[in-house]
Amino acid sequence: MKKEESSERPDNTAFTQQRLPAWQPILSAGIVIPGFLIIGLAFIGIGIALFLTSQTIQVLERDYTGYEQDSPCFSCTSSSTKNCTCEITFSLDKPFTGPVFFYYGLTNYFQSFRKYGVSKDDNQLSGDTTYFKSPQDQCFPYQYDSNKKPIVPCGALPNSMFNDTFELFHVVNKTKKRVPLDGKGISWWTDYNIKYRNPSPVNGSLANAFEGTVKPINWPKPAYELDPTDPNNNGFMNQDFLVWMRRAALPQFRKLYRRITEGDYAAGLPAGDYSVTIHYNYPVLNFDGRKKVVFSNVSWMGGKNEFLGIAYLVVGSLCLVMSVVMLVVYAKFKFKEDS
Amino acid sequence: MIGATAIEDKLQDGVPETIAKLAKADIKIWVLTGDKKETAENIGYSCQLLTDDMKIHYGEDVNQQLMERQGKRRNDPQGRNKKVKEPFIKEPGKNALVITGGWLNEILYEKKKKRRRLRLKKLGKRHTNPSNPQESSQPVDDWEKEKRQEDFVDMACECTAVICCRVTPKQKANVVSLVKKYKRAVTLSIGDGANDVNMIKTADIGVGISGQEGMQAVMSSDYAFAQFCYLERLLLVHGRWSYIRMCKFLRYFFYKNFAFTLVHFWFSFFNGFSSQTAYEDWFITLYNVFYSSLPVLLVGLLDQDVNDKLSSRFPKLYLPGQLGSLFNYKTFFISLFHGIFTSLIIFFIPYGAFLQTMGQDGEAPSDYQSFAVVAASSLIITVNLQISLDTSYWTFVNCFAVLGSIALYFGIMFDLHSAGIHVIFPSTFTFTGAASNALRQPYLWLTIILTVGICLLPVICIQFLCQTIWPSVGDQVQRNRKKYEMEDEDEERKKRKPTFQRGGRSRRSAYAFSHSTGYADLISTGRSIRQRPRVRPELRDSIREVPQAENI
Repeated sequence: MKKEESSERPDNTAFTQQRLPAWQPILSAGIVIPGFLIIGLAFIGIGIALFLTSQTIQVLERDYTGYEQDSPCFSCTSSSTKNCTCEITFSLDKPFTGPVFFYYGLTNYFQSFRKYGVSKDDNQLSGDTTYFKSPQDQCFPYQYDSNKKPIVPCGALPNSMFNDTFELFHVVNKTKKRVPLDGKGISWWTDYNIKYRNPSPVNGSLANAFEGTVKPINWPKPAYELDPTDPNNNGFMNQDFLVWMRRAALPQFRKLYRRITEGDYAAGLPAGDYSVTIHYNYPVLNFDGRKKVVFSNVSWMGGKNEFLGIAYLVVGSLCLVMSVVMLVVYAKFKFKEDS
Repeated sequence: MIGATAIEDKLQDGVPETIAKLAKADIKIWVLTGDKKETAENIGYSCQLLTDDMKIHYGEDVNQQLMERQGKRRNDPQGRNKKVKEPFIKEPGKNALVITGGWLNEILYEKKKKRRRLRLKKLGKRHTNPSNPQESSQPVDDWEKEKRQEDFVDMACECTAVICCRVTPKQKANVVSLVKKYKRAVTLSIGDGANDVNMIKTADIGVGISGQEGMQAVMSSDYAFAQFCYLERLLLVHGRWSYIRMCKFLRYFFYKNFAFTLVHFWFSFFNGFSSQTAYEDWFITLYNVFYSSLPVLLVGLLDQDVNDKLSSRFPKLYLPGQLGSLFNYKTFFISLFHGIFTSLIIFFIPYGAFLQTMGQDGEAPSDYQSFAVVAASSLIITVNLQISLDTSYWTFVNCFAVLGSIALYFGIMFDLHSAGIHVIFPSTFTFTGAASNALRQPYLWLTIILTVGICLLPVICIQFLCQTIWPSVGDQVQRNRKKYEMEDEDEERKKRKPTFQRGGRSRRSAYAFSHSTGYADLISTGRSIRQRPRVRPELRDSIREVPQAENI
């Protein structure tokens, strides 16, 4: 009888009998009001730091789509002209502290569109040549060309790669002095070294690895010829290609084109006149997009963006206001209770 | 007379206190027993269900009132549509109802027609249809029957206590179903014998007392224990905790899923309505399983807003459960709006931060994968801190669950974004390097901190203001918890244990004599035994009721 009793008895541990030692905090005034005060002051501090830092960053943007008739690149907007170049000029009143970063920006361009974004073959891009012969289905309709030959790299995302190129000139005494642009390391280290791999060269040549495939439809040159000047910058490991493949989150975005870190301009761009020569290849007007060039320098918080600084300031001041309000309410109701 | 034998069916320990406590918790207590009327009445006095200041109404009284009401309703031209109910008992003060099973049948008109006809035949009367329907005392149709039953239930609920004696098991079940039908109340039946099985099965909650009468009641019940006084702990402690836990769990679950899902809705305005997910796919898979489920499960198992001693001490804490005030349409919509607000913050603060910005070394972090990482991280931190705000009872497992969930999220995320797994499965894990690139930028950490802050600070503020301006009973008890605990300790020290542990203090026992009226009245009404019993002086302390501090 006793044995049966003890086997049916429920466990008498602290967990099963709900006797665990516990801390029962209450949201008391002594914690909440000073807490809000401290958080409010901290947020205001951070907000001021962010705002001031953002104010010191310099940004210059120039739209070069050529939408208006009087804009310099208007002549390039008609689709009939090929290999069109245009030039835009700007002048700096104050020196632009370096290192200066040169971006191209696009608006109304939905890189975050789902079908567009998944339209690529990650296996191809990791250098797996079995997928060179048979690209995956999500690349459709950029999977095979009209002759049923496989496209490498397949998909809408690689196919739409940005192919305008720019040259920057500093106008000194009416002569154009070329500003050297550095295109190394503009993409993420992890993209270049881990995520994307070129196929192994066949007979010492990368081009042979792409045997039996064709380039994407809208590309001027195949992948292994993307950069004739630097053999390491070809295939999938092309820096511009990798920058393009890193999908943007929002419909207006900027992507890094080059850095200005060499020669006379390593410390920045001195005040003066500048001109950018654009090889205009990329059509955006048919979907009402806009293209621009952007020059910016960076700080510890990145580029110029006042939103976070202002948001911190607003939230911090609201915290301070609320802590005063809560103190008043608490005092009023506590005294009412006591009396 | 040579002598007299008496058999006493003792009440269990603690029955009067339990009944008094449950009555304070707004629980109506009805006694349904097969005993005689005198026995049942004495038991009622003995367990303090009936007190001396109550006026007791018997079956005849009830019948008369019901007939009056029926007549009134018939005469009223709008009788069938009237919704307003006047109270039956007009005099102030406490009332009690004592009815027998026979009267119950009369009132409820459940007798089989055949038996009725047979009985009338025996008495020599023919079963004639009432000539004038207006004057008949029987209800003429089903509607009137229902109204009569409803009247009975209303009248019974106006009384503090109801005792039905001489009820058969079937009638016990019928009374329970009557209450269930006409009052939108939850019913609990507690009994110990085979004759209670019917009512245990009919009630919403059936409780069986295991003991001398066998195990039939236990086997058909939802809960079983050995003593009636455990009912108080079952209801006021565990029932209350269970309700609070369930409500917290439900509200939080709705909130966290709304906060998680609606971010996609806001993102859809910025991705061409293409149903692009705002987080990594693996995050979506693991969110409800690993990253946010364990803390809320533990809250649903272990949370206590006040400890068990205080729950028993203040029966008024039981009221929110009866009123359904912790989970209803209003609280659901509050969870919904809270979830919408959180999702707005989780999307738009990173949106504002990502607009036109670049990373620390010039490379653009305003890419989709960094955005997903930032949104997901702020979501996980927000919902886990939110559950920690909702938890009132912090055990080490709760701490471990909250911190563990956040740590697990970061751990798994870094693993899925690492190089190794991408090499093995290149097309399944495409977020390589996203976490390490995004989370080494102080700007994005500041974004996450701001997002979490905006989501949680208003909640703390509103909670504090509500607790200060409109404190609930639970809040007040919690605030003065230390004071009550000290009072309890003082009481424990003061209470002297009696040297003889008898089965409780002396109480009235139920007596019923088998012969007809005579001197039986004296004893059966309990009048002669109603004075305070004289006891040994040193036991006086333990017997006298210590008034509890009820004014909070």
